[in-house]
Amino acid sequence: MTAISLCRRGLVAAAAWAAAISGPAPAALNAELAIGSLRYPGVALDDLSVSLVDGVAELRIAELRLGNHPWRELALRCPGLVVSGASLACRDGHLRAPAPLGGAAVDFVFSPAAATGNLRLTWPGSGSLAAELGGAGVLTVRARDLDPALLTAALPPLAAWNPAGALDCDLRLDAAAQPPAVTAHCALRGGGFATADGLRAGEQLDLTIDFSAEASAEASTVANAAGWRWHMAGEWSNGAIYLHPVYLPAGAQLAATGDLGDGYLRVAEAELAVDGVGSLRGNAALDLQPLAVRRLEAEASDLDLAVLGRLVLAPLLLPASADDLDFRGRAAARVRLAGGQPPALAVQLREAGIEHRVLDMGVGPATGTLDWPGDGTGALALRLGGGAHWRGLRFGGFPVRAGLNGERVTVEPLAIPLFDGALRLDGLELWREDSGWQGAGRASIDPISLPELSAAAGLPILGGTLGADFPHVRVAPGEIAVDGEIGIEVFDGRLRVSGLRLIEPFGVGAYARAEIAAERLDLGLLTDSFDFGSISGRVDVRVRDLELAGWRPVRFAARIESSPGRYRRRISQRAVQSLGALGGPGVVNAIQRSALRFFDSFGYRRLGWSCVLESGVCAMAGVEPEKRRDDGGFVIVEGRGIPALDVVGYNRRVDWKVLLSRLNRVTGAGAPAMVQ
Amino acid sequence: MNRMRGFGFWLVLVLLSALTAGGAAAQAQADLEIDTPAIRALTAAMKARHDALEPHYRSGALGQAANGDLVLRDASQVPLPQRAKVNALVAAENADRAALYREIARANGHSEWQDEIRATFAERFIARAPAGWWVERAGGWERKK
Repeated sequence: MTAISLCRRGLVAAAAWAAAISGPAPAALNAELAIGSLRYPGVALDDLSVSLVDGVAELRIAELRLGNHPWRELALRCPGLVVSGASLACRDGHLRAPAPLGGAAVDFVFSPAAATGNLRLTWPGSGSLAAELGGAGVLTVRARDLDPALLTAALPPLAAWNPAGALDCDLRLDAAAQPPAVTAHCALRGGGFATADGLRAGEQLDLTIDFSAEASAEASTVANAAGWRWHMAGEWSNGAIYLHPVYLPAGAQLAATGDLGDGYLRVAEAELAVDGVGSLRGNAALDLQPLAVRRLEAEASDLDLAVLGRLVLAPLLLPASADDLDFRGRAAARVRLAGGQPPALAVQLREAGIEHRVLDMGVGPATGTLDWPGDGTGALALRLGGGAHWRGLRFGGFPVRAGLNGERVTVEPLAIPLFDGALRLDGLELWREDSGWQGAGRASIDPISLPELSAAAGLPILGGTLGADFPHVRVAPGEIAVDGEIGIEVFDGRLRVSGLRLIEPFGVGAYARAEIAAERLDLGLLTDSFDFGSISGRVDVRVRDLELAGWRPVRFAARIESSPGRYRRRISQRAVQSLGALGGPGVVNAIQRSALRFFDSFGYRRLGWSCVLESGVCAMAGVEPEKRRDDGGFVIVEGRGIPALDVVGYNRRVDWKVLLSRLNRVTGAGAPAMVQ
Repeated sequence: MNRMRGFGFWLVLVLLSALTAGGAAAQAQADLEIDTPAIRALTAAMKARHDALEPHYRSGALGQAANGDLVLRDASQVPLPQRAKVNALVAAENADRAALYREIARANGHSEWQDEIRATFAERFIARAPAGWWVERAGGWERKK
C-alpha cells in the first residue's frame, strides 16, 4: 500500500464521516473515527482521529512530522463544527499544540471530495496565516504580521537565533500546472535575531525575498516531482547585523538559481552584491540530510578594500587597532571548498595599502597574489610599488615573496630601498608559538648617504654614510632584538650603535634600547653642523643604556671627552657662549667674561662632559667625573695657554627638558647674549 | 559624572594595588612597583580607556577573566551598533595588559616572570572588582556580591 493511497483512503473516510453527520453537529450525537496515518512527501501524520462529543468536534494527531521534525499531541477543537453537504466547516476553533504553534484561533472550510477549502490561523499578537485551496489545484497562502518565531516550529535550529519581527508572505502553489509551480513573495519588517551570547545578532532588519520554483519537466504532480528548479532574489534594505567581531549595516542584494532534489540542494549560480564593497558570485552543492556542503565555489572580482578593510578585515585581523587603520585599493578573491577538505583561497591585490594613523606607518600600494591551496601551505608574491613608510622614513618599492607552511612563514631575501641604500633581510622566518609570533633572520643596511637621512629625520644636514650588519635578528612577542651594529661614518670618525632592541614596537609603550660608541669624531665638523660655535679637536663618545621612549631619550649614561693624541684644540668665543647658555648662570666667571670681548678663540687642554639621565634629570660631571672643586663646580673645558679660559658648570643636576630647550636655543637662531 | 570619576579612581587604585600588593609567588621576587616610561604610558592608556569600558563592566557585558585578560562575556548587553567598538576596546585593553605584564617582568630583569606577574594582576583585578561586576573564578563566571 502506498502512502498516497493511504492518504486518499483517509480523505474518503473523512468525507463519509462528514456526510453521515450532515448539518450542524447535533449535541446528542457522539462519534469517533480513527483515520490512521497519512503520508505526503516530507509530511507524515500518525494516529489521526476525529471525535464528536456533545457537539464539539476535535481532530487529534498523535504525531505530525515535517521533514525530520516531529510534533506530538496536536489537537484541533471545533465547538462550532458545521457539516454541509460534502463540506466541513470549523468556526472559532482552537489549536492545541506545542509552542510556538499552540494557542491559535482556527477557522476552516473543507470539501474533501472537491479538494477545496480555506483555512485561517490567528495567533494573538503573533500574526495570522490564511490558506486557500482552490478547485483547480491552486493553493494560496497569505501570512500577515507573522512572528518569525513561529518558523522555529518547522526549523527547530532557528530557535537558538531567537528570530523576531513581522513577516508578510504571499505564496501560490499551482499543483495542476504542467509542471507544477510555486511562487512566493515575502517581506520581513523590523526583523531581528540574537544568539544568547549576543555574538550573532541583527536589529531593525527589513528584507524582501521573491522566490519561484517549478517541478522538473517530467513531473505531473507535486508528489511525483523528482526535483524543483528554483530562482530567488532578495534585498536587505535596512538594519544592521553583528557577526562577531564584524558589524555590517544594511545594503545587500542576493540573486540565486538552482535545483532542489531528494536530499540535496544545488545553487547553480548566485550573486551577492554588498553596497560599497562589491559583488560575490558563486555556486554550491549541499546535502540536506545531514546538512553538509559538498562543493562550493565563490569569486569576487572587484572588492573595494577601503570599505571591506574597515568593516571586515580590521576587526578580524587587527581588532586592537581597528579604529586606527585605513585601507585602500582593490582586491579579487576566489574560494573553493570540496569534499570536506579545507577551503582553498586565492586573493589578488591591486594597489592595496594599509595605513596605521597613530603609529604613522604604512605599507603599499601593493599588487600581487596570496594563495592558500587548502593543504596547509600558502604563497605570497607581492610587488610593493610604493614600498612602505614609518614616520619620515620612506622605503622604496620592492618585491616580496613568502611561503607558508602550517604556522611558519618563510620570507625570501628582501631588499628594501632606503634613500640611496637598502635594508636587506635574509633568511627571515616567522612562526607561531603559544606565547605569540617568534622570528629569526639576518639583516643589513647597504650604505646610505647621511645628508638625505639626516634631512628626513629633521636633523641638520650631516655628511657621511650609515650602514649596518645584523647577523642575528630575533623577533619575540613584544620585542625585536638584533645582534651586530649600525656603523655610521660621520664627522671623520666612526659611530657604532649596538645592542639594538625595539620593545613593544607597535604599542603605546614602545621604546628602544641601544649602546653608542664613537672614537675620534672631528669636533669641528660636529659643532659646525649644529650651529653651536666652533670647537676644533677630537672626541670619544660613549652612550650606555640608551633608552628611547616615543623615540625620545628617557635614560642613558653618556660621556663625551677629548680623544687621546695630538691635534689642534681651540674653542671659539661663540662655542663658549653656547656652553654658557647650556650650563646656565655661572659657567664662565666674571674675569673670563671680560676676556671673551677681546679674543675670538681660545686654546684648551681637554674637555669632558657626562650626563646620566634618569627620571627626567641629567646628572652632569666634567672632565674629571670623580673630582669635585671646592666651589662645587665641575670643569667642562679646561683651558690652556694665554688667555686661559675654563668653562665650569655649577648645576650638576639639570632638568632634561630644560637642557633640551637650552640646546634648541643655542643651535637655533644663534646663542643668546648670556655671556658678555 | 561623579560615578565615572569614582571608577577612574578605582582603576588607579586597582593598578596601584596590583603593583604594590603581594600574595603571589612573583611578588616575592619581582618589584611590581617598578616604574618605567613604558609602564607609565601603558597605564595611562588603560586609564584613558576605562571611561569607555566602565558602563560595560556594570552591565555585565565585560568580565575580568582568570587569566588576566578582559573578556566580552555577554555581548547582548551592548547596543548592537557599539559591539564592534567595544570588541576593539577589549582587544586594545588586552594588548596593553599583555605589554604591561611583559614590561614589568622586563624591568625586573626577568622576562620569564611575566606569567607569574600576569597571574598576580589577574588575582588583583578580580579581588578589587566592585560588587556587580563579573569575574571568572575556578568555578566559572560569577557576579560579585
